[in-house]
Amino acid sequence: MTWLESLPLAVFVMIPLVIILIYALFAIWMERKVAGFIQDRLGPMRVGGWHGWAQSFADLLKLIQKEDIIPAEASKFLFRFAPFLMFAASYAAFAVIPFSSAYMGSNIDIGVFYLLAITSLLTISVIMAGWASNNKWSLLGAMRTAAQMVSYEVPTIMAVLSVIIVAGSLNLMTVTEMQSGNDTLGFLPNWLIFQNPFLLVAFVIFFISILAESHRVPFDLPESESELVAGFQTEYSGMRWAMFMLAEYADMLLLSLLGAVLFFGGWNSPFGGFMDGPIWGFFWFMFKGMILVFVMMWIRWTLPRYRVDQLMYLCWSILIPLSFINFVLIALWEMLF
Amino acid sequence: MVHSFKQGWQTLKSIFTGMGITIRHFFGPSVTLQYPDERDVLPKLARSKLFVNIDDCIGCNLCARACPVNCIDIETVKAGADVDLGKTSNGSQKRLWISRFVIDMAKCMYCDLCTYPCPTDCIYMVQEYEYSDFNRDNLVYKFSNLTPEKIAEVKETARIEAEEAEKKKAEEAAAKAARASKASDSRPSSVPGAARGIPGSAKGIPGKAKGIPGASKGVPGKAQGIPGAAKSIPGKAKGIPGAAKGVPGKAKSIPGTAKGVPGAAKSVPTAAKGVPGKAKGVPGAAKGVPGKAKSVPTAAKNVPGKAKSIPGTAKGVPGKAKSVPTSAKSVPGKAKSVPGTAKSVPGKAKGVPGKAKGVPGGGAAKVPGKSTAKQVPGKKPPKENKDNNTD
Amino acid sequence: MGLLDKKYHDSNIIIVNLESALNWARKSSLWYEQFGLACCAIEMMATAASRYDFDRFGIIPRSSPRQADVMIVAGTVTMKMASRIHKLYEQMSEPRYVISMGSCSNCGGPYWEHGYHVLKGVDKVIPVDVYVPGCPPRPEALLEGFLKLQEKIMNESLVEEKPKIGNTIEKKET
Repeated sequence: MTWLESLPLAVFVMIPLVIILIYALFAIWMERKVAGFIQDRLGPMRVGGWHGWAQSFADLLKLIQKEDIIPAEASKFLFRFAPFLMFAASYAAFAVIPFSSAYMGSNIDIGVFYLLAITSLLTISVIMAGWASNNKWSLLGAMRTAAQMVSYEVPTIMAVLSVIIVAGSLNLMTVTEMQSGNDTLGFLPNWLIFQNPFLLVAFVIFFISILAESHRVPFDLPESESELVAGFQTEYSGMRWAMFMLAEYADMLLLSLLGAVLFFGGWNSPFGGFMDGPIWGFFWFMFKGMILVFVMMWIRWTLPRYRVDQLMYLCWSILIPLSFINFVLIALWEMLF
Repeated sequence: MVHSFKQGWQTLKSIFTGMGITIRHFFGPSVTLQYPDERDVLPKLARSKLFVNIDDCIGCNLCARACPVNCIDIETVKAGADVDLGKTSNGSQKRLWISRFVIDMAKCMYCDLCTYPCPTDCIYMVQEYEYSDFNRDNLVYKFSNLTPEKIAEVKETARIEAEEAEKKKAEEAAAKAARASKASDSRPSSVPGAARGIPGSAKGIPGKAKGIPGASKGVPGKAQGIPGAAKSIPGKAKGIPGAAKGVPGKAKSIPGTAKGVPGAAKSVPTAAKGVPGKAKGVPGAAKGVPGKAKSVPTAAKNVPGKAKSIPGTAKGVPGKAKSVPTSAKSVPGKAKSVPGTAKSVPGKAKGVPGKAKGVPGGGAAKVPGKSTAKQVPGKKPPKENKDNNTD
Repeated sequence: MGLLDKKYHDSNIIIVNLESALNWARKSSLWYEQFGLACCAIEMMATAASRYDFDRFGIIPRSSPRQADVMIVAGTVTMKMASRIHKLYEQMSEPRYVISMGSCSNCGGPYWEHGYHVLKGVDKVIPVDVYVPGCPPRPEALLEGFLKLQEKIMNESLVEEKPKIGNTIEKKET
């Protein structure tokens, strides 16, 4: 295969990357605007003209210029490697996300399994970054992150499994396709969340868990500014830090899109056949994902942060038992109906 | 179990309540003031940058003294008698060139205390708060409108005038001293034992005088110089005419407070000429005289140095002496006043040592003798002096 | 990185355009290291809050010095704190700027004469770019300090000789 032959493939592979980059620029600006509006402020206003639309570009261009500091006592290779690993993990997970009926990175049958497995690499990269920095804030932040992500993976997986029971497939494209149409009660879209009352509970568990998985408030302990300076990112500056930021926002998008696929019909139009098709499908899919992202931001600027023990309590004492019970109930429901 | 569910419900409810509030604010209007484009109107008494209208400044230094952080630095030069500096907007005559008026806005703490004492309201706060700078030196604001050449010129003029005045004074003093010494020479020293040498132009004045004429009791240390202090008067005569109380500390002497002391002593007008030192003198107009004493205020002109110098002392004269006007030249120093020209002469007792036995308190010496009879206006002077000086 | 460390010897149209783009990026994204030490910190918080809103200019707080661009020294710098300020300044990544906010950090403020424990100006330990006078300064004054800093950043150059604003002492006569 020559490079010319592989070019279409390269373009094909790059599509999620472009989406992630554009999304990250937009989401950072949006996050600041949301924060501003919620606090009766305005958010970025002056950079670039209309409502500071160029704010993220300025941030990016500035971060490129920043000095790249590697602490003398750090483990240099791991320190340099961790941000890339983190972003790679997020990016790789996008391979199994069906962006539209026409585009999906890799149509494999173990899509959900692959996605959950590859996002576990995030934990490793966080530990790597924290430990390699040779800084106590970094290490504490990394340890917390690891504990948090490992814990919350359990309820996430249980909630996802509940959906898989109903859908009967691990392939996300199949899961999406079975949600098309407008059959539920005659007028509601045929989305899974409307099909089973226990899936609503599953969605709540799933949403709380992905908040924790993507280190969003109220579970942003890894980088809690008031306690740990900036958590595992403390020693990172310039573009390496920007990679972390990018990975974090990509992770947020990834998990939101997963939620959209599993519960809200993926790229299916909410109006049945109306406004349907690959392009509209992509629009609807991103729209649903961005709604969830917006809710995450909304929560971020509403709620305070959990304490570490409360975080663990919530996970192990409430969400995990609840998700198991819910899992059994969904299975029963599926047997009965 | 029930409790747990209740708690869970409470949690969810409070989360949704909170999110309801934030989403309402999300769609609500913002309160932001878009600063460079919009500005607040500051309240009328807002305290911001200081400004000095130098045309109205009379150089009284009150603002600098009021400043708690000493960020105002003023230097003035006395204008010559023939120079008219004009008047301020409220009619005060300006007598000083303001050669330096510097406010370090970097140090200023914006307390506004400097603006209240200003007699001409020429220092005030303006509503300007945007004056950040790249260099701290630019935060030092200079308000004096004199050019360096002009400052040099007025300083030179002032120096010449001061020298002339000094010369004049010296001449006068010499003349007086000559007279005084004549008088004392004429008298034999009656009590040699007690007499202490008295330096100065009054060459020793023998007699009983123990003190040193013109000696005031200055109190060094704290600088309570007491210019013109006639402290004491033994015997009945307690009157302490012309006692100026120095003011300690930085030398704000407050001269010229004659403390009248009742008693027989009527008053002793003193004209003490202080010798300025570092201190900022306070010209002394002896002010009132309390008590019954008819005291006589002293016109201490000066102001003692760090407060040690004690300008001339009027010594009360005990006994019958009614009043002894004195004009002593104070000599700075440790507060030993130097009897330079102890001219004091007991009132009626025209140089009658016998009667004037009282020994003035402290170091106040009496100068017995006939000494300059001319200078002693006898009974009359006290009153006149009083009238003059208390104005 | 540290693009600004290496200077070009002569200018051309590409460098000029690149320079203004980079300068624009830096001035539009000034993330500040919070150094609230005394009452000025309250005004700094007020500036970041709803009424004055730092974020309009793209100015947001970062708690790690590595990611901060500008340090706002807001308040009385005690002798003990001075070494910490110096350390944190050294931990900041280039390009970095310092805004000295309020009388105390400008020159010791009310403590300039008798404060045995107060550093007489934070510029004794770190280089200061903009001095914001006030005790404490109004939020607008701090914002104006930032505008001044932006002005300074826009005058920075990738080419060596270009004179920088701020190095000249302008005489002010009022």
